[in-house]
Amino acid sequence: MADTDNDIITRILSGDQRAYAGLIDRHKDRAMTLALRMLKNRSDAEEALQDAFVRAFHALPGFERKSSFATWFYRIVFNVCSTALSKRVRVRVASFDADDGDPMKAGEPVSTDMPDIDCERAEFQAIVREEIDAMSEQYAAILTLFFVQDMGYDEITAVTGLPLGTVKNRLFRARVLLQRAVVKRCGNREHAGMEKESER
Amino acid sequence: MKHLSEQDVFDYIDDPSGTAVRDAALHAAECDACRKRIEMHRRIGVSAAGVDTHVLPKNFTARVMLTLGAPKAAPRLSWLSENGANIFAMVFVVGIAGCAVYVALHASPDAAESVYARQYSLWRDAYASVMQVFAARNREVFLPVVSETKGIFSSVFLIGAAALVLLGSLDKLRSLSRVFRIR
Ligand SMILES: [Zn+2]
Repeated sequence: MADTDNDIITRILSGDQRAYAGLIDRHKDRAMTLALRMLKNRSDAEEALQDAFVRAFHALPGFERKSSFATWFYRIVFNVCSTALSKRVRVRVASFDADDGDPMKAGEPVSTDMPDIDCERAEFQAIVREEIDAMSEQYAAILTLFFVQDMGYDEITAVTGLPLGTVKNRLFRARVLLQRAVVKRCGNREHAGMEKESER
Repeated sequence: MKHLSEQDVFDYIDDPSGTAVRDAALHAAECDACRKRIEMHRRIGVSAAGVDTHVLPKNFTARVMLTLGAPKAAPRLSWLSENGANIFAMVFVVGIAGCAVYVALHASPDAAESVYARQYSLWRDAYASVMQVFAARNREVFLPVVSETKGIFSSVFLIGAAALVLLGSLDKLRSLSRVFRIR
C-alpha cells in the first residue's frame, strides 16, 4: 500500500529528508494548476511553486496535522501566489472584491435556455480549461480548489482565509460565469440563450 | 412551471444523494430545460477537474530538493562532544607553552625549585608520556607509561580522550538507531 502523506511526513521528521521528494511528486501537478491559474504565467507559477515547496519543507516541523497536508500546503501555495500577485502592477481592474456588475441570485435560475453542445469531449475539455484560465485569478483559484483539489467549502475557506459566505458566493458566481463562457463557445446556436428567464 | 434555481442545480450535482435535492430530482425528471442545465454543469465539472501533468519540467522535484540542500548529518550530541577534543588540546598546548615561557623569562638557579618550575616539569613529563603513548606500537610500551607515577597526567589525558571518543560514539549510535528504527 502506498504511503500516505502523513507516513511520508513522519519519515521526513525522523531524519529521512529525501522522502520529501515523494510529497513533491504527489502534489506538484495539482499545485501547479492552482499556481498557473492564479499567476497566468508559467515561469512565475513554477517559481512560486518552488518557493511554496521550500517554505512548506521548513515549516513542516510546525505542521500540526489538524488538517490534511494538502489543505495546509495549498494554503502556502495560495499565499505565495497572492503575494506575487500583489507585487505586480495592477493593470486589470478585476479583483476578488470587484463586482462584475452581474446580479446573480443563487435562489433563481440564471439560465434555462440551454443550447445543445456541438463540441467533442476533448474539445469541450480544452475549452473549459481555457475559460478557467481566462477568468480573474480569484475565480480561477476558487474553481481550481473546488474542482481540481476536490475541496469543499470549509477547506477552501481554510486555504484562502476568506469567510465561508464569501467562498460560497464566489464559487457560485464562478461556476455560472464559467458555464456562460463555455456555452458561448460550444453552443450550437448563434445566440447562446443565457438571458435570465423572467418568471411569471 | 418554476424551474430549479442555480443553487438547486449545483446542490444536485455536488451531492445527488442529499435529501434536500429530492425535489430537484423530481423536477429534472419532468423538465427538459433543467435536465440540460444539470447535464451541462456536470460536464463542465468533469472537464474542470482534469490536471495537466506535463506543465512542470521533469527535473522540478530534483531542483527543489537541490534548493533544500543535501540531507543534513544527524544532529550532534552536544557542543562539548563536538569541540571537547579541540579545547583539551588547546589547554594542553597553552599549559606547556605558558610554563615554558615563564621559566625561560624567570628561571635562575634559585628559581629552579619554584612552583612554576615544578609545574613546568610536570607538564613536560606529561607531554613526554603522551608522546610515548602515541608512539607506542605495542602494550609493552603503553602499559608501563600509564603505570608510572609521573605518568598521572598522561592517565588523566587518556581518560579524557577516552571520554571524548565515547561521546563521539554515542553520537554515532544515535544516528544508527535512527537508521534501524522500528516503525
Ligand atoms: Zn425546469
